[in-house]
Amino acid sequence: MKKKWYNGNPFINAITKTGRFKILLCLLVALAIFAAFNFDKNDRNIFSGMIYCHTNIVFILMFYAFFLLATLNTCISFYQYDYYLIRLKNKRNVIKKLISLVLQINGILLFIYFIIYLCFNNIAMIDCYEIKPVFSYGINTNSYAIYIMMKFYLFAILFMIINTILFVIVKEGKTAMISVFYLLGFFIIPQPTTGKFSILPWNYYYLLDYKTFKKEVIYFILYLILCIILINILVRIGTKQKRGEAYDN
Amino acid sequence: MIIEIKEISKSFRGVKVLKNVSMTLESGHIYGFIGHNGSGKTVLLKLICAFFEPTTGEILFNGTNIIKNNEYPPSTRALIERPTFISELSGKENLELLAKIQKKIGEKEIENALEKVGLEKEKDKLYYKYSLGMKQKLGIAQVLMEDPQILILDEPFNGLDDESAKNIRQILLEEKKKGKLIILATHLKEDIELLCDELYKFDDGVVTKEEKEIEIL
Repeated sequence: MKKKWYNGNPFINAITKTGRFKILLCLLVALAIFAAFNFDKNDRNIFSGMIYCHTNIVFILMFYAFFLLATLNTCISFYQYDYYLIRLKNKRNVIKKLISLVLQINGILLFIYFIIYLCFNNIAMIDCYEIKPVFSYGINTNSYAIYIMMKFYLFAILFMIINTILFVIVKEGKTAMISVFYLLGFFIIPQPTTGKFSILPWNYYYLLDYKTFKKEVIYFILYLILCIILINILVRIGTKQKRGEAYDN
Repeated sequence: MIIEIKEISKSFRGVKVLKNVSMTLESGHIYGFIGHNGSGKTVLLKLICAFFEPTTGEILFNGTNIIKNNEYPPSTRALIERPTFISELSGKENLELLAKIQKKIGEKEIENALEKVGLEKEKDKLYYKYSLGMKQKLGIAQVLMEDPQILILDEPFNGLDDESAKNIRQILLEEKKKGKLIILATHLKEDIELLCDELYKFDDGVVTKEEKEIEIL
């Protein structure tokens, strides 16, 4: 039997058909084109371009501001369906549902961004596939570019999840304010010259020499674990329930 | 089921829209909230549904503060302001989507709810093709379909023709007989007087109780 499409997630269809989402799509195309042409002028190379762009503060700010808007748009749109909310019984279920929805919609946006970026990056750097070594890591720019992109996307996903949880706890105004303060950190916190383990999130976006690639990956994973702990704490704060008092509604 | 509203106040950007509201609502009654647009009726309904948090005061459901507990009210369904469904789904598909969340009911109950409100012929029509009255009926159907203990209805007769309004009134009286707690908000006094056991008048965020005898339709 043919599976009905709404057995998937009809909210994705509903939210992606809105005018606001179409504006976001236009911004996304502009962002991807900007990213593709935002490279080191002295080192015209497709892989170096990827690394340079995704560690560049201006691009990071624009990218995160875009995904803050996209996340808030999804959250606000979903909150219109109050018949749905009341049936979810509690905020913990709302957070779960909303995170899944935000990741699915932002996942589509990330995919579109990546495809457009790759196309324009190829146009911007025709025939510049030269592979170069990275610091003294013993790896080349192509492998390092993949790592940088993965790291960048993982941080972006964490940013979306944290914003979604904040939205459920404090609504859109305060969520936007907290995120803007976070992004301002790129200007306020001085950029370190060498790579070392730090609890400051901003340090993980910069291109820093950690002496070995293994060390850089381990520090990144450790920081990722810290972020996951923070997310768990946030969920607990936002959804704390007294034991034995949950209703069956 | 008892809802105790204790000295609730709600402010938006420093403007107090509800001022120290207290009331106790019990099962088997229809409560009417009456007042002009912007008098605070909808805000109180949203507070009861835990869509908003009160600035001060508390709302207890059988003695439990559900807002503090980050929960939505138990066995409660609401139709507040204009109905919001997914446009690209039919009326029935929208109800199926809602029913899937708690999996308490099946197709039979959904069909029954649609029939009750008089939407059985239009159930497969896409929601965006619905008229205002049909949208309102679908909103009422989603309130009724899972047999909740508390029914919250904000201006439920909006867009309904006389015949449909009469049918919905009859349904509400039947639900009351089953021991349901029903809260109705309207700015049309004649509608609410036909149905409610107790009236609460909202005036600029201040709520006063008005005693009233029950009238049977």
